[in-house]
Amino acid sequence: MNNMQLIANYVPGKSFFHRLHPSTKIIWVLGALLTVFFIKDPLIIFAFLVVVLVLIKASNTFATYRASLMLLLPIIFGLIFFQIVAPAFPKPWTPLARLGPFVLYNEGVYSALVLSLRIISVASFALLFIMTTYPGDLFTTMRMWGVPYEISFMVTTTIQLIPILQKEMNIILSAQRSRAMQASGFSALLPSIIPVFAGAIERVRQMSMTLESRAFGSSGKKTSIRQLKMGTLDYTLIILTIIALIGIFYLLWINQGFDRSQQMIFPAPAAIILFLGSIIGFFGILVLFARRIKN
Amino acid sequence: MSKNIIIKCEDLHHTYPSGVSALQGVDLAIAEREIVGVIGQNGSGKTTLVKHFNGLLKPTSGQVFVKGINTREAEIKEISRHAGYVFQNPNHQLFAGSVRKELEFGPANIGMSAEEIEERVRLAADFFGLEEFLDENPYRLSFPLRKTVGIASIYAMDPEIFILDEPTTGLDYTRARMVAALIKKLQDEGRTVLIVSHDMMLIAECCTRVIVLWNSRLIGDGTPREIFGNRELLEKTNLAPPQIFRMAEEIGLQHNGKTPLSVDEAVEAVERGERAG
Repeated sequence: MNNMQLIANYVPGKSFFHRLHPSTKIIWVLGALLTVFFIKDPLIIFAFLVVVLVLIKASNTFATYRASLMLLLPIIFGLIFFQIVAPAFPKPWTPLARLGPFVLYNEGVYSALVLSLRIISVASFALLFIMTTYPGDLFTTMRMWGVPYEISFMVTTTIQLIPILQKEMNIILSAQRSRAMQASGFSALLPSIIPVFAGAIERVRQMSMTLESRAFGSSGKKTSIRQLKMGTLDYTLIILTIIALIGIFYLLWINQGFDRSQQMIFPAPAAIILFLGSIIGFFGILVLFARRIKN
Repeated sequence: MSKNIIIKCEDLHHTYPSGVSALQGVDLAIAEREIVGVIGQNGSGKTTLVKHFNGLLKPTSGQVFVKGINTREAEIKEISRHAGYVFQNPNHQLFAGSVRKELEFGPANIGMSAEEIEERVRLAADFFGLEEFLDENPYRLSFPLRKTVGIASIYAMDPEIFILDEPTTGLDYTRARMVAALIKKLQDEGRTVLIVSHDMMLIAECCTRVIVLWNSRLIGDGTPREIFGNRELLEKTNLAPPQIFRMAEEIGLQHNGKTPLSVDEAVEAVERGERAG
């Protein structure tokens, strides 16, 4: 409970990913996002996810990643549940099994797999980017790309506020639990959220005054104490990435995104297991959250 | 002084998940009605130690007993009716729309009846002089008053033990004296108080006993006079006795044969012309 970290932030390190220029990583994230959302074969997306997990492991950020994934899982389980009973596919749907009031469809299982794998793999890749990029470097990169100073500042400040607010949330939960607050359920919401928001507003107000007094809005060219250089490796990787992306999109174009929704027929027990698993998983995560807050 | 032990630590160790070892084998017994000052530099383990006394932290190894309850086996909810912890920053706990609702929160959580709650809120408001603010929004009050509401919200739960984390930080001299007076009132009601503070004047004035933490260990335990008179100990921990104590030592001022701890005692000593030797 002392370190209830839910949202990932920068993890210091010296891995390959840490040393890459943020520009390279941003291009990779965008490239992966586009590619994954055009691929329709769950097996290919799964293979991509495995690669991302290996990269996360290699960057020594797996522990932080796992904690942040907890937040994503309830959404994934909900998605699986609704896709199986009402797939995002043109009718007619092929029924596989019937479970009480629910009919489970083959297209549902297919699209549940595709959608959830897409979300998990892209989110994992984006988390890898956040976890291996020093916030100050992100700011410098955004400036390098010509993003206005104020907007770059807003984005990086928001990212940096998250861990501070998490820390504050932990103190507030301790303070309210010392007053015998029920640690879970709706009754715990107001006593914990109000001090967090009041504190955040106060903090931001003070920060804006501090910024003003340090000439935040002054005109003229700004210099930066942190210098970032694109290395040969970065240029090479970016060029390779662009070539690879063109190749991938050509393949996707001629193969119609590797759509296998007509070939893949799932056995009925698999659909039932996935369906029940999503329900159990959804509530399991909620119980786990409640217990973590309690202890 | 009664010898009933109310808090007991046996070989208490605590290591944070980050790997930082904040307590390394603390043995301590605190009796009922003691007013204990917990002093030490930042990072010496003071706050970690007192957070074990209402179950906010559980020992990594060793045992902590509060009123005979092993804190490992009890939830904070159960322990908090015996040991109330007042956080340093009142903004971390105030959430209700009025001071009255803020005071009702704790007692309601430990299952007091409506009449009891009303009675406790009335007593707390009276004890802390908050009657006229009961219907105000706590966020509209000044910082010292908010801090008072923070302590009052614990008082309303009627715990035997009070744990105060930096009760005088951010308060001016007058307000800090009022906190000292409140602690004396708690003592008069027969409660046990633990004060974690850097305010040596407060410690000297209120405490019957002072414990010193250094590098995650308990290295000093005695009356304020013993601790503040122990130069070696203070030098090691980089702590300074209250100004008045240092001055009295310097010029050899004595109050009933001892170095005065408070300004009042020093004034009396000067008036009587009592000197060392």
